[in-house]
Amino acid sequence: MEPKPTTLKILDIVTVVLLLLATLMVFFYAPLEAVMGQVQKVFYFHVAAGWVGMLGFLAAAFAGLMYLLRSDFKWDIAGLAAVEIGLVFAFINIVTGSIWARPIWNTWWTWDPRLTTATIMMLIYAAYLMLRAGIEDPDRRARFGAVYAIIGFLSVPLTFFSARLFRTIHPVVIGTNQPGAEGSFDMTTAMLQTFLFSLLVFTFIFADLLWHRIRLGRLSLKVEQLKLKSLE
Amino acid sequence: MESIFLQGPANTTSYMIAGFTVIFGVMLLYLVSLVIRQRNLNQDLEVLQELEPADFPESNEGQ
Repeated sequence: MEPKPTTLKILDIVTVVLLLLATLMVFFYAPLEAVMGQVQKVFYFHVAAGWVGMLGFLAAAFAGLMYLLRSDFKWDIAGLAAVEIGLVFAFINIVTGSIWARPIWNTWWTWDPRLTTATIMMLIYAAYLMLRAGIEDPDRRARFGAVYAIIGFLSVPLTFFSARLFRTIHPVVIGTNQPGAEGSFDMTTAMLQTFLFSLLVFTFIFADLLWHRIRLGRLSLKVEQLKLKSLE
Repeated sequence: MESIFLQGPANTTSYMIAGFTVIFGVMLLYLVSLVIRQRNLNQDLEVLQELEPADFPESNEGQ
């Protein structure tokens, strides 16, 4: 394994410190929401996790496009890394949303347009990982991954805009809520600052994890090549 | 007489704890999976290098 670059070491430390700060802000700086109580505090990281999920899928689509243009495996590795991280955070987003929904909507789950599109988006990318694992030829696997990541990305704007385009009970943070939206609240300045800081911190987490995952992908490719060479 | 109106925020602390457990738990699990995968790949690399050290002289170089 190549030695960890100093910049990555610094990014690791900065990310941990920022996450600690964001957590402190959520619990001690942002005020308690008047109606929902403590569970509203999940909102800051719930939305931030959704943001990282979508950012990961956007990065994967970009990496896919670059792979098709350049045929360089580094873009395939980056695309796979971005999908994997995006999927982890999309999962966090959906599960925390369900936990928040239980006391607010009085149900763990409802087939609302936002929840449905988010689930479909997650399943599309889970299928990406499973289908990739079934292709042995590295070139075919990379081409397939690139095309899939680009087409699969269509599910991301659909998920993002679903709460704005369709009749839904899911509240929106930016824009106007649908008439039936339940659980929306007016953010105070401290809440808004905590929310924006959480988005920034999770962007750092994404960058840090992506770098680590790309390094792992490079190591995996090296091992795969050596295995093929030893079989010849 | 008790008021039928909400006196304060709802008691949703247990849901908040569950939410943050999921957030930090899943992130920690992912980190652990990265560490385990890296360790396994390094072990594979060592074995492959031991098999034919002459074929992979560049494998120990830092990049």
